[in-house]
Amino acid sequence: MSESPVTAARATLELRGISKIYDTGAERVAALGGIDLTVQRGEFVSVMGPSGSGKSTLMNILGCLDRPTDGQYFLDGEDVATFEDDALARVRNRKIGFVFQSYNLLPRTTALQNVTVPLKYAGVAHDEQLRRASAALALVGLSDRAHHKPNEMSGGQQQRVAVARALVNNAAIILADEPTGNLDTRTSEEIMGLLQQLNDQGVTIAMVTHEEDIARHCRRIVRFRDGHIEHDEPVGDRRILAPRREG
Amino acid sequence: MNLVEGLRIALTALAANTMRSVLTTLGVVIGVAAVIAMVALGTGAQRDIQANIAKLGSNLLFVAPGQAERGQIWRAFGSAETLPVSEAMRIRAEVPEVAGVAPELNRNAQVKYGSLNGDFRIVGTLPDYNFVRSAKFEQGKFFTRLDEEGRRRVCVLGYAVWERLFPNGGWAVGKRIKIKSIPFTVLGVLTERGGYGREDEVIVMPLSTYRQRLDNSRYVRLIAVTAREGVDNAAAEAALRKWLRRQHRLRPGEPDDFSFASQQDILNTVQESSRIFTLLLAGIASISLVVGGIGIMNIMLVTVTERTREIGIRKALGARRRDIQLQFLTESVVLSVFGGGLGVALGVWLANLVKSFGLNAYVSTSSVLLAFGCAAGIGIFFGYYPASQAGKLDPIQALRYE
Repeated sequence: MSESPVTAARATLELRGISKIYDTGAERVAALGGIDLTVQRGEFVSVMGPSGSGKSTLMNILGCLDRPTDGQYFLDGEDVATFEDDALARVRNRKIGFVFQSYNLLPRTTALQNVTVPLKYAGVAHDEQLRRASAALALVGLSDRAHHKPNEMSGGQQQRVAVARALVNNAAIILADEPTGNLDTRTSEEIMGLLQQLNDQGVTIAMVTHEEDIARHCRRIVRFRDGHIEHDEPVGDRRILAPRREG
Repeated sequence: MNLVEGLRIALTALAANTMRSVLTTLGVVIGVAAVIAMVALGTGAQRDIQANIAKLGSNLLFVAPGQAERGQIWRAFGSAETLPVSEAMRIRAEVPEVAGVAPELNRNAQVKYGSLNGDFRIVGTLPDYNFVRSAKFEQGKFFTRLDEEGRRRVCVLGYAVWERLFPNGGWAVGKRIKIKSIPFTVLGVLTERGGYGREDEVIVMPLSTYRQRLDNSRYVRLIAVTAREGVDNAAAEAALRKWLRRQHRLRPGEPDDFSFASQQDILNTVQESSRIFTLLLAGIASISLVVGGIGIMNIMLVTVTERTREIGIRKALGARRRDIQLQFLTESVVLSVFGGGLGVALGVWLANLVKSFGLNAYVSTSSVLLAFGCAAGIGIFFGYYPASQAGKLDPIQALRYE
């Protein structure tokens, strides 16, 4: 692993001059116009902005699902902006945990099996997969639902399975894309409580949301407009939730 | 991701859609079963023919008048008049390499016994016919030199003739049948030879009787000869050829006006044609195997579309293009191998069913391996395109897919 001297500090991810331009042939649309952003280890960042502001594009690039048109992206010390598909898949597998708005669990597959999926692609032995997946489920408080399938669980439970799946590979950062978008207020708070709890234990989290209430649970808010960072500031009146379990 | 993991994923996915998986494999099941059953039928027929020819004797050599091109041995058989009866009668005395000589004259004639009758091939030949053709008897025995010398009105019935004239399996020896209204005493009944060539629809009688009573032809249609013990077929053929050429006063360079066909030649010809028959059957059957493969491809393409989101999730969680390809390829191979296995079972069952109807069918290990291998190959071939489509999907698009 080539440790960049500039990022030798504790930055988990660092974007330098990241731009993304969509060339539709007729016109060139700049979704991101030269972003600089650094997220330190242990941070809990919320990315906000109206639709079309470039936050989805940013999340795709942060998640190594897409490559920037220009710029450098250091993730855990590696410049991944120029990686080939297979190398990006490996980075997603080892360094990133995804939490999606619509949970994105595999249907007809138990919670435990869902959590093992990243381990399968990491080449972890079968017994070890089950051991680590069980541990991750315990961490999100779902040990008793390990053998339930997604359609047998509530939305909040499904999202917690997704969080367990994001944790299971000891990712450098968890990327949450509107994690509470499909949940009611009470369940949203549960999930945010869980994320805060994990963050307190040292997990780095970056989250996209457009709800101010939800963003207030984070430590820092980055606001986007028209492909640029408009504001980047710590949360003044942070809401701290006591971790609790779903009844 | 290793193979066991891939198999686990494939089986889970297939089990989630059991009915569709079973229906998808049906094409391959039928294809493999058809190939195995058809090849079993062809091989069975081939073995029947071989067994029948082997029954005729292995050191048998035929001489026919006229020249036939190689590979078309039956064409000119018996149609020319270059082998006089008198010459055929001298072979045994003058060609020491030859042990038995059975010249044959034949024609069809109306045969009657009581109220039953039929049209059969009547063969006039010498007593040597008995051992040259390795005759075996259901009843009685063959005629002797005395019958030949005395031009006696005696005959031996082929199995089919006996069945026709003695429908209740009655004792035929000593009975009198009428051939062209001339009464003949039955000396024996030959055992069934079966197979091709209507060898059983024949009545054999002494050559002298035949020429006096039925057809005073001076030329033979065929001479069946066996080599003497210790002399191989080729040597006997060479000696006989030399003798015949001298009799016919053929100069060096002049072509033979007779031709040889050994048992082996006939065997080869028949083998060749039944092999082509088997290939043809297998070819037709394998079309259904290919159709089955297309069925698998079709369903795999549907599956890939249906599971676009799953593919997106897997890619986001770290699956490489190769992992996704392998997953879907494994599914199609599992489908086709499963279908192949069922097909083998069904094919063997069909072959046995055919057997129970009295046809010979033989399931060879090679045909089973070949059909099964083809099924697996089809899984790979027809699974490859859908699998590579799945692998190519863009994770962002796939995740957004509803």
